[in-house]
Amino acid sequence: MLFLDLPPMHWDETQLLYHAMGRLGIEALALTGTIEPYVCVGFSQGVPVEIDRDWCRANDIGVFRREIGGGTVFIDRDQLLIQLVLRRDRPDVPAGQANFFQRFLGPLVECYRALGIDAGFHPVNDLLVGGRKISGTGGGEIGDCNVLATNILLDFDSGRMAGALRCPSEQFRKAVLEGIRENLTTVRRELGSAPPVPKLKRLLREGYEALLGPLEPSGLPYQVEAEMERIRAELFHRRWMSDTGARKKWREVKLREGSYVAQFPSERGDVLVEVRDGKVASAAPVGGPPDGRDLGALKGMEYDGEQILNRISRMATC
Amino acid sequence: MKFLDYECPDELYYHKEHSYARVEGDMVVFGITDFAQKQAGTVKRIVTLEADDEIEQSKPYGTLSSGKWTGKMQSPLGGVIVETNTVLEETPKKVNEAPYGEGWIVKIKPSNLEAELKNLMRAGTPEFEQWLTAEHNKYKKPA
Repeated sequence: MLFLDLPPMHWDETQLLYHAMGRLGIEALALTGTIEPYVCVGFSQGVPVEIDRDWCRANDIGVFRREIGGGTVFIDRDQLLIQLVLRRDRPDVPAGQANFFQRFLGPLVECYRALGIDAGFHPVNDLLVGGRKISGTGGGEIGDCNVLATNILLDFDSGRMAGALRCPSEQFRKAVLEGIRENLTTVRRELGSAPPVPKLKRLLREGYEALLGPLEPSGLPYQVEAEMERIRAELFHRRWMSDTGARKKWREVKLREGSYVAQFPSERGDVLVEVRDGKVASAAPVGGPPDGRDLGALKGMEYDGEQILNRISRMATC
Repeated sequence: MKFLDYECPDELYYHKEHSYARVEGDMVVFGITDFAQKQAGTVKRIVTLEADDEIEQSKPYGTLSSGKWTGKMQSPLGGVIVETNTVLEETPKKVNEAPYGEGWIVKIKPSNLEAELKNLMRAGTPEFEQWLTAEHNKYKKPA
């Protein structure tokens, strides 16, 4: 199994890398970073729904849609990208996504702890410090491999993340921005400074070697590079990039497990809902003062978009 | 019938990658099993090949996403897709709520039905119960 300690790459290459290794069945731990900033949308989402492409174009932010899970992430040079590609038929690859995440996020948890950050794993795939997320993680099957793609947030530009998202109102964008600041933390925020990247890479390599056995240091193999070029057209194909993703009648941004900002359409005006710990924490009309609806009645409801939409619709027709 | 807490209707044929086939006249309906939907968690997206696309037994015909994870769905039989369940485009969680009913995934016209059915399992047979017991143990959360 290879250990790819790679210098920062162009933004699209950082994502093409694990897609190519998965398709080729090449097992590796790859550690890299991006030169340019970009946003990356998960499989179940759609770029047209998630991303404000005009804003991204104007701000030189790339847009990618990956084949694996996880939500929309903003990635720039303040993150160390960690990509683990393992064949599914390995005896040490557990069955089930929950087991896979728990096992292979373990070395990342240990890395944070070695730095003095008290990170903990929270199922299914969150790494939290004091209730705040410190890594963004997605996974899935590519070819005969399972892929884990995660990161270490050295620092995070919440403003550019909120700017890149397609938002139905400025009130929604503001709530997302506040939600990101409230629900995310970074190495710099926890420690006051960021340790050198080579130290992080060493800790990660040691942690994954303890779990998987010795890793073989390598440059980017030629066949991986060739495969990245081959699949580029596929992953930037108009049909793939214009797919709208899972269809929802409302707009929702997940901040971490159990925390969301959502805007629901309604005849009497849209409603902005903020969710904490899986329950509605607040609900307010968008773009105006209280309008007579008892939106407070939504407070405390379990977060289920369809049920909330139905409840709001019923208010609208009363 | 129910086995190890999983619904396993008798009339279905089961593939070892947790998809099922239900023969309806000269057509066959596919979906994922109760075991698979429980392992997946809330299904957020289903994407399959489309009507008129050819599929092969034990080859992927689509992708299922639970939001955090994406996995391939393997075809229990070969043939040509004649219909996809468009309800799942807006309400993919039907796969969780009714995997053998409204949460069906595609309907196909099989190309080699009799021969390929022999590669699938039936609920209640020792082979099926051994397989599902092994899978149940394999997916258990580690201590």
